[in-house]
Order: sequence, then structure tokens, then C-alpha cells
Amino acid sequence: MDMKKLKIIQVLTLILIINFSFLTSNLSNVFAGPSSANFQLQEYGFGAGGTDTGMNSTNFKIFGTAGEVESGRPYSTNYKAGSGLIYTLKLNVPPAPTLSNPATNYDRLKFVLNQGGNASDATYAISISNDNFVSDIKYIKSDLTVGLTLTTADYKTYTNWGGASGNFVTMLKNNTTYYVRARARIGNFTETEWGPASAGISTSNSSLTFTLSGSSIAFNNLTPGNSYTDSTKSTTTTTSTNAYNGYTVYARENQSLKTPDNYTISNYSGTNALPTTWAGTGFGYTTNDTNLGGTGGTNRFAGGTKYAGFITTGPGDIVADDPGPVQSVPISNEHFTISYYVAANSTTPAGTYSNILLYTIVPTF
Amino acid sequence: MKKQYFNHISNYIQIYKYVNKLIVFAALLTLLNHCFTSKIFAAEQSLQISPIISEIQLTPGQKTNINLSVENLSNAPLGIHAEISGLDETSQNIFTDQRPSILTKWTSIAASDIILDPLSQKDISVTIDTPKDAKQGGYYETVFLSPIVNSQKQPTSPIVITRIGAIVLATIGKLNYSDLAKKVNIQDFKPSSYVLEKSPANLSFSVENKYFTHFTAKPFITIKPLFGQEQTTLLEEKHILPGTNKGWTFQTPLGKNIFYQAKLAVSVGNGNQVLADTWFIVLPYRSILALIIILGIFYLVIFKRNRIKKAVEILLGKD
Repeated sequence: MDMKKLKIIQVLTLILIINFSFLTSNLSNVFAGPSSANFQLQEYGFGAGGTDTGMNSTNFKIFGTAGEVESGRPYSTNYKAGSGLIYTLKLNVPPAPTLSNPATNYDRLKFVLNQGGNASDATYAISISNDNFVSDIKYIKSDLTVGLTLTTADYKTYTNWGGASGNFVTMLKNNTTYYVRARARIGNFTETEWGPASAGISTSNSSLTFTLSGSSIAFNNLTPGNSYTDSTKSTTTTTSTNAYNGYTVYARENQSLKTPDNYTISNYSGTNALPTTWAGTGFGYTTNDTNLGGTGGTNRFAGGTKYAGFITTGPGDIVADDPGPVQSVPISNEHFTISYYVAANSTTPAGTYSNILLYTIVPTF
Repeated sequence: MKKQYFNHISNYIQIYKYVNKLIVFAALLTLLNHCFTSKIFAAEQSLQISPIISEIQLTPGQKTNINLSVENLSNAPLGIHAEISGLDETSQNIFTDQRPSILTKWTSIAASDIILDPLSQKDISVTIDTPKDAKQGGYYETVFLSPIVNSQKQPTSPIVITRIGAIVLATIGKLNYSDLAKKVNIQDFKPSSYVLEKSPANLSFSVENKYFTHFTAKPFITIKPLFGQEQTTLLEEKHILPGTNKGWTFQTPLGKNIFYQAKLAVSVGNGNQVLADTWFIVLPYRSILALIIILGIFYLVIFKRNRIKKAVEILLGKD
């Protein structure tokens, strides 16, 4: 091969290399997405899209694009679009959850998420505030308490947040108005903005209302005609409360039934833990609380047919209670009847017998 | 006749004056009776107290005030007496009367005796004056409110009186939930038996508080069968005072699996949880054993009857 031909080959090879480099450079410009030092869009497209329902077939459907947002973020009472690009595949921003206080609770409120048409596998985070998200912004944690931070574990599905029944967020302050809002996400890079806030709902104060039907027990005169017995008198307790763990009523006496001359009618031998069917003489009580706390079984008074004697030591014996929990429905005008039984005999000295019965009610803590 | 007539008239006037005096006296007596007796006596005792549970933060050297709203819901005037009592820190029975609590010494009531008109409301101001050298901790007491009932010197029948206790839960020191979680122990999280004949199983556990103040324990139990979906149940919340523990029992849902794992997460607040787990097997082993025995007998009777027959004959000496 002569030198001339060799030069021609070299020139052609050079041209080929230059063209190839140029082509490669152009190709990279065509196939790479817009990028900066920090990001690169892997996929993107152009076009205004459309809402033409005819743009589909049995195999595909064009996602409609109503048009670009000229400025601001579209919103209504219930929805608000996220800032920046509006993703056609992004979840709906959850509408305002429903917040309520069904049992006038003092430390908890009930919330029900609003899915806003999102799929069942979408997860939600919930934010809570007592100033409508001006400066107090906290989060409902996965354990339904309130925390300062939001973690992945605090994103739960609609079902796991309680579904349509909702759930209670606890450890709230009493007498305080709260607001909640939610955001949704599914997989990565799909999280919505916070949705609109719920209406403000207030917690209450803890309260207890207690009524005793009377302030004395007027027993019949104990005579041979009534076999020295009266079991017709009773006291009714009526209680209303929103205390979460309910309440307990204790009863005790200051002394046995006694005359001014110190004659006594002794306390009945049955005890609160082991009440018995009445037999013999004494002064005792029974309760119709069939789900009574304490020891000895919940229906140990057999619906008010077994009796125990009063004790004198504090706080006394449990005679009525409701352990709650008070969450959805408050305890309202709950009645229990404590019935008394006094029985003497012909050897019991005549006289006026009396003592003081003390009923103490406390919220269960 | 005329004189007799005037005497008659004079008598009538005297009687009239006497009756008038009697009416005035009766009216006065009724008024006095209303003022003194009925003010402190009511057939029905009906009160509403709020707040019934007060959770407060105390600062050493500062005063903290609680306003207890007391409402008389009965149709008669009611005298109310307020007193402070300790709160039992050691038993599950909430409180006993007059148990020593340092908080009671810091607490005063502005007016411990008040009279409430029918269907009226008043506030009772409770002030806690925390000493400068008060230590970090949980402090507890109960404010008892009692209607004053006319207790005669020689009553003719048993008298019934009532007391309503309003609980005060006070804390000195900042509660840190992460630290709290480290001071809370789950004890004895286990089923009634690890191998059960049939479901449901009864799980029990207690939670111990070694932190300086009280907290609310909120247990979640998740039952995870070997095959199938796990199920989480939120149990009743309970307050636990420092140095004490409280127990729970839980009946698991019915299931058809054999092996179950039970996970317990006790939330102490702010997303902090204390964890424990256990397991149990539901296997009708008695039924299976009985079935094996029956099958064994059946096998022996059908396939080994000749040998059994021979053995019996040998035993009976007929061979």
C-alpha cells in the first residue's frame, strides 16, 4: 500500500471518529432527562393531554390533564392540590378527618379518617394541633398517643387507623380545642400535602355526679308482728361520670346499730367477699350490682339476695361500681340499690337504734 | 247583758290577738327552721363535682390553684364540707382514708364549708403551696366533699351520708417518655398454659412503674397465628403510680391454628413502647391421645386377636 492510500484511510478514519463522537453526543442530549448537579428526570413527557374520554381503547387509556396551573394551588373546602407539579398518579389529598368527643371525655377525642377516594393500601399520617396548626403541630403516633415527631411507623392504612369506626387519640389536655388533618402516601415519592383541618373539637373536664336517694333509713318498729325483722328499706345510688376507668362506691358505718344506752344490734356475719343468704339476727346489706369489683366473684351478692355486714374501717367495702372504660358512651344515671336487712329477737332490749352509714364514691384511678 | 257581750267580744279579740301572735311566731319559726335546719339537711343528696381527676404540674416555691366546681343538683339547700386526704400509693384499692401524703400538708382549702342553694354551683378553691426544697416525684391526694346532714345527738334511725372524692395527681419534674420507657417493666406476660386443649387462651401480665411519677399504660396485644392474619387488640388503659404495678388479663380471640405468637406492646406515651412476647399452642392432645388409644385397641382386636386370645387362655390357665 502506498503512502497516498494510507493517508486517505487515516483521514477517513478520523472523519468517522469525529462523526461518531458527534452522534454520541447528540444521542445523549436526546435520551437523557433534564438534569442538574442534584437531580435528573429519568422520564418525562410533553403535551397538554386532554380529557377526551374517547382517547382510550380496550388496552390503554390516556390520563387526562385538565391543563396547567396558572398560579397558586387549586383547592376547595375539602381538597387542596400539592405545591409544584401536579402528578397525575399522585394520591388524593385526604379530606378533613372527622373529630368528635362522643362521651364528653377529658383526655381523648375520636377521629375518623376520610380516605378521599384513595386505594385501600394507601397509608396516612395524622397531625394534631390545639391552635389550628399555627404553632402547635404534633402527630398522632401509631400507639394513638401524641408525639412531636413523625416516623414511618406512624403511617398506617385506613383500616389500621380504625376504618369507619375510627379510633381515640389519648393523652390530650382537658378543656382544650383540637384540630386534626391527614396526608396520604403509597410507596415512595407519592406523599400528598397535608389535607384541610377538621373542625375544632374540645375535650371536657372530668366530672362526676352522685346522688343518694335519702339521708336516713326509717326502719319499721321491730315487733313480734313482723318477727322483729325489716328488709324493705334501701338506698339507691345514681351516678354519672366521664372518668375513663369509671367509679367505685364504698360503704362503711361508724358503729353497730346502737341505742343511747349502748345496747347494740350486731353487724350481720356475712362479709363483702363472702355474703350469705340471711340467717339469724343482725344488721346487714345487699347490693344489686351483679358485676361488682373486689374479691369473691362479680355476682357474689346473687342479684341482691345475699347479705353482708357493714365494716367500720375505711374506705369501706365496695357496694357499687362501674369499671368503664368510658370512651364512646359516658356513664349516665347508673342506678344501684343497696338494700338493708335488720333482724332482732325477743331478747333484744327495746330502744331506738341508730348509726351513721357513709357512702364514699371516687373515680377509679 | 251588754257587759257580758263586751266581755265576750273582748275574749274574742284576745283570742284573735293570740292566734295572730301564734301565726307570726309559727312563721318566724318556719323561717328560722328554713335558715338553720333545712340549710344543712336534705333528703336527697345530689352533687356534681368537676374536675374529678386533676393532673397538675407543680413547681417548687410556687403556688398552684385548683378550682373544684361543686353543683347542688337537689331541690333543697345543701351544706358542703371539704377535706383533704392522702391517696394510697401501695394498693390497687385506690385510696384509704387519711393515709399520709406529704401533698396534704402543702394543700389548703379557702373555704372548707359552704352552703349551696338548690340547683346552684360554687367553686371551692384548693391551693397547693409547693415548698422550695420539694423533690422531684409524683404526689397524690384526694379532696373529699361531703354534704352536711343533720346529725342529731340522739338520732331515731340510721343516718346515711355521702362523700365524693376528687383525685389530685401532681408531678414535680419534667416527664421524659424515653426515660420512662426504660423504667417500665412488663412482668409475667404468659398464657394460663403454654399448651391448651382449645382456644381461647387467657393471657396475663402486669406492668411495673419504677419511674419517679405516675403514667398511663396502654397495652396492645397482637396475636399472630402461624398461618393467617395477626389481630391487634387495645386493652383498657390504667394509671400506674410510682413504685407500684397493675395487672391485666386478656382472652385471646378464637382461632383454628395450632401455634400462636403473642406480642405485647405497652405504650407509655409519645410513641414510646415497652415490648414483650410469648407463645402458646392450641392442641386437643387429650382427644388425640384418646383417639390413638382407641385406634390401638381396634388394631389389637382386629389384627392380634388370636395372640390376645392365647394370652388370655394362658393367664386363665386353660392352655
